[in-house]
Amino acid sequence: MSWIIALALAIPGFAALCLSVPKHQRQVFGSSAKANRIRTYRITGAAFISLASLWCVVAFGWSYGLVVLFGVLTLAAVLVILMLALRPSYVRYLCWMPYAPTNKDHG
Amino acid sequence: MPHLPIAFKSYLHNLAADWRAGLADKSQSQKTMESAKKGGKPAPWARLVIAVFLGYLAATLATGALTSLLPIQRGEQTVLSLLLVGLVYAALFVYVFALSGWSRALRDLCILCAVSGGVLVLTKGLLF
Amino acid sequence: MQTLRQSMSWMHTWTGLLFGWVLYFMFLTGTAGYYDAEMDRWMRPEHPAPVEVTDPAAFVSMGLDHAAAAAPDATEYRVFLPIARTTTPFVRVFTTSQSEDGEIVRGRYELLADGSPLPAARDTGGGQTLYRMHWTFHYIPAVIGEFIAGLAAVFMLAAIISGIITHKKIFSDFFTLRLAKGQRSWLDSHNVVSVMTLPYQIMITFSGILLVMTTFFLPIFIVHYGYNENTQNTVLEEVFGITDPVERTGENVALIDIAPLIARYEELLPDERVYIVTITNPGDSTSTVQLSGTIADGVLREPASVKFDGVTGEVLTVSRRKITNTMGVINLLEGLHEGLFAGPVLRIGFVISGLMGGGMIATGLVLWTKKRRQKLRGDDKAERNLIIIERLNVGVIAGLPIAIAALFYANRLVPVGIEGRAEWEVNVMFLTWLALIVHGLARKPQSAWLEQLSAAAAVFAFIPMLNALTTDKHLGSTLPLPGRPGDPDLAVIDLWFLVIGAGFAYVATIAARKSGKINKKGGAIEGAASEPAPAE
Repeated sequence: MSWIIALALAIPGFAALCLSVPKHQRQVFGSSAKANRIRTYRITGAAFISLASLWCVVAFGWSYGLVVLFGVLTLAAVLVILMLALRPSYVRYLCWMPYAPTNKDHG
Repeated sequence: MPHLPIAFKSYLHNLAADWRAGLADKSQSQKTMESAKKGGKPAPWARLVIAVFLGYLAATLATGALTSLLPIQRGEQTVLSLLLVGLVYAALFVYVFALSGWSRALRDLCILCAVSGGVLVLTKGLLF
Repeated sequence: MQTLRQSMSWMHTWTGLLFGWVLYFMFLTGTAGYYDAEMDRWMRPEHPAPVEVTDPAAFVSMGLDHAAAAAPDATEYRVFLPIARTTTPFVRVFTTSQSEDGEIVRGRYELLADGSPLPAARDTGGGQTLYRMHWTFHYIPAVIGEFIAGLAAVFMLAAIISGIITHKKIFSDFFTLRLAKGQRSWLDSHNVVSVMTLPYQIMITFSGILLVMTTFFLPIFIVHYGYNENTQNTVLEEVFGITDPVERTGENVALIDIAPLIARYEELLPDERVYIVTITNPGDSTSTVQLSGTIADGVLREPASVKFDGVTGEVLTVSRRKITNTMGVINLLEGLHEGLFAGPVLRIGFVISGLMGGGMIATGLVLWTKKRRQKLRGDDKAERNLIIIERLNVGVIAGLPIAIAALFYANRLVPVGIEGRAEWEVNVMFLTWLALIVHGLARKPQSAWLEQLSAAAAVFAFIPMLNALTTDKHLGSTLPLPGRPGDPDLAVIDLWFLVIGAGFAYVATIAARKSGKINKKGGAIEGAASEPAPAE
């Protein structure tokens, strides 16, 4: 369970960080989208990853938790990358902030 | 003998400039790159031999010399050396390959060995 | 900095290429080693169920009784309780004694919960052999193996450093993986697997050097201690805290009762369990009793321990699991390398990281041939060399997993009772690998890849079936289901075979699709950079 929570925090973190890159935003939301909310995505991503780190240390203790954290971050990042490569438009659902840059581009 | 400190001083003096120049010196590394691209003379054997053998000696001596200067017990010095020596070895690897010419790598590693050896003689006496 | 990047790229290529195959072997067999204890059990299906330690004191005295009966005048008894995954799951007893002409005689016994000896299993090296290969390389003397492993690790560390410098946009390309774009895809995959697992790769490589440091960096001891007949003893004492055994006085004393000592140990170290009991000079007035915990109970690769006077029961030394000096840092890194502390889920994480390390090297090796192929125009000799490397890559990269599978086939199929059976299991593995390398050389790379990847999928997926045909400890009985505990340690091995088989099936499908496409186009070079992206 602790693992699932850690992943549930790390995956949205990386998804948001991924969406903070204009290039990937276009991949996810369509090529017409303009780079948008870069800062929001970046802060959200960093916040989620910090939460995941905090959670790992709280749930597993310092020494074990840090090792778990690296495992979780690796796994989460790999999942986001694979999603982006295989089904780019789904990346928006990995992030807990599923709004598109603009309404026009969402459709 | 009096030449050695002078040579060493001028070496230190020139090292930074030399290093920058070496990095900026595209000709040789470019040439190697090109020959590698052509598939002509691929493997940098000279550097490899220097990095593997002389790098090993230099890493061992330099790490030993560095730790022997620390005011800790001999056992602790040894353990610290064991921890660091792999990193030093890998760093020397990178150094040998980052330089534009292998002859400079050879010279630098020889000097490193000599200096470290000197430090070791001073700190440990002649152990052998 | 253009030139630094160029020279680093050049170095990355050559250091990677030179040790790539060795490192690939080390990564794969080493990753398998995360399940060494489980594989040991899988490969000895005759063994009974694991012993559960209910009362440590009772198990220790049982082991000591056995030791005393087997070697009455030993200089050391050692009892290992089966509490950690670092062991076979039975009580192990070791005795050391000195024969009259001064030779050291060692005894080793494995016991079940009732004190009866463990029944013999088939003669096999078990998972330990597969695991130990990743630094001893099995067929060569261990010292030479450790030298090769150490040098490979230094090359790897240098390749990591130069790789980071070479990688132009480590952050902005963090999420970039462009598929079906030929050489570009190989570069992206190589970058992605490397960057994702970078902390793991740095840790595993650096700690790998530390694990062979006493062999590979032996001159360090000479630098600090000089070289004479006393060097070894001084080093053992000053660096590793190992002293010569105390001479017996010959004064006979009854062995102290262990149970109160265990209680005292648990009082002093409440977080630790008793794993090893070591009694030196048993039955003598100089006797000491040392109780140690297991290194699998935490990240540090150094157990906690309490040493007692063997006559009075007085506490002599207490050492806790804390980083107090440089050796502690080394122990931490070595503990991370071995991952003994990892629970079932973290263990999966370690295996995935290890496999991605293998993937990093494999993609790097393939990428090199692709790049090289593009640059070659009309140089016959270089092209011949390239073709050899391209073809060797198939047998090495796709062949090694099949060879590892062959080890498990051999474990089940080589007849029990033939001489040197354990060695033959390993021979089968390496002969299979050799055959696959020859196959890779003989076939066109594209067909060879497809054939070997498909074969890998088939052989891995079939191992659980073979297991069910040859033993009664198969997934049908080991899988934990509601209403039965099963045997998760054995089930996990079979499940991994299925997962690996499925993984290879997926890769083989990609290879098949690709070769189909290329046939339609009429014999273009594999991986030509003009393939369209899949419809999205």
